[in-house]
Amino acid sequence: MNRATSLRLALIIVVAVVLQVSIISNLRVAGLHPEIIWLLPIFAGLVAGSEPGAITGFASGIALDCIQPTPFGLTALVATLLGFSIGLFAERSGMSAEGAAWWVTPALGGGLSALAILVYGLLGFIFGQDQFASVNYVILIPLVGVFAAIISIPGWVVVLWAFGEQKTRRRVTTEVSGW
Amino acid sequence: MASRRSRRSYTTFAVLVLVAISILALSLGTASGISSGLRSVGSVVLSPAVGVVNSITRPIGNFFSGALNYGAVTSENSKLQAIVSQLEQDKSIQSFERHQLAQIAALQDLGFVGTIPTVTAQSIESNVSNFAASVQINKGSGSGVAVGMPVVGSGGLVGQVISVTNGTATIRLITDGQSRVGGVVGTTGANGVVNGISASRPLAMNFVKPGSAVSVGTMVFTNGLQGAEYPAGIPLGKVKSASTPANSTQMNIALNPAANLNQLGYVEVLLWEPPA
Repeated sequence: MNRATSLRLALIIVVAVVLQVSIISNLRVAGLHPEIIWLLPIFAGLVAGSEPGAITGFASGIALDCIQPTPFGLTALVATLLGFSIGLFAERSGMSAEGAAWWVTPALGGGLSALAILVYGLLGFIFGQDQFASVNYVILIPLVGVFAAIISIPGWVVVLWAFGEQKTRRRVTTEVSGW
Repeated sequence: MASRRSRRSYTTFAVLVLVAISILALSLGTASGISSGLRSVGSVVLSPAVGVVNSITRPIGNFFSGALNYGAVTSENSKLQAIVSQLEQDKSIQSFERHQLAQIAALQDLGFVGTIPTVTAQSIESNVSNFAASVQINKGSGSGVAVGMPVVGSGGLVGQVISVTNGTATIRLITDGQSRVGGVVGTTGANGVVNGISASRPLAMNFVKPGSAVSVGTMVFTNGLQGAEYPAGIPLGKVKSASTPANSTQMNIALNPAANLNQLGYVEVLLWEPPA
């Protein structure tokens, strides 16, 4: 990533964390709130590939870990895994949301965010956070997924702007992706 | 070319995962001070921006909330006015009672009651994570707040300070799954450990001997035993249910927190640290 991309990405991460902590965390359903931070590594992986996906995941995860009273580094770990694996999958399959049907971006953003929260809970439990098993996932997973789907389009546009000229030239074909 | 790029991508990924796992291991292990320090830095950097966004968005949220619940707001306002006048009347009586209480406490070697200096702080954020029960307050090390200090609110114990910056502090609530507080049942003197489970669930009191006389509605206090992280005598919660399963080595006791953790407008940080 060049300097301009890094700066744009840093700006987006700070804005996303501030929005998460100030506004999004106050949108409560049964005491739980949506999480938007997972969209950054997901879309970075799709737009720019596995390495930028992993870097974006690590940076955004560490930024959120600085604010949350959960085990430090856990969000960074999950977001790095997420960004890298999605980027790798996109590179290998030639998949991208660019040029795809309108519903593909929200579906990817929502579905993968919901998956991320599940992996986060599971990894936290494996790392000895027993209380992670007490979270109401029946509400949390759909809540995170639906909200992420709703804001996926602006999220996608913002990540496209961040990576600008660096984004890969992969195009979706209905033959490859089935969309 | 593509292969070299791919190799670099895997290397970057491996390094980042390794760093994340190392940080995680350090924060979960004995070097939690590192994560606390990093959190302080992060909080210092991001708190001003969060404060600005909150100051813009909170009045909007309050306006809609007030408009939708106008009747309830008016009614609550009348109730609060009545409470304020009652509190003003009680103030002079309480002053005398505090004096008496301090004397009794000194006699019983409970010198901290009424004598522990406190810092009043306003709650500015709550439960920023779905996986932890916490609040952030607007007082930090600049006001004498330090990691480990107990925090009380209206009714009883709220939690413990887990990280501080100069102007803010994060409190782990007693309902958080990581919270452990030594407790004593008020009427019987039975000791146990009060564990949090999650923000929306009652507290669990463990290690109370089977057959102890614990009845519903009894208040549980911090026990302040040697090495305890809280001074004795702070209300923790009221017994919601108590039973002894057959062949069990301990009772099953559920508590409702004594403090109203859902509405933590203001809290008091006790400038108290466990004796060495």
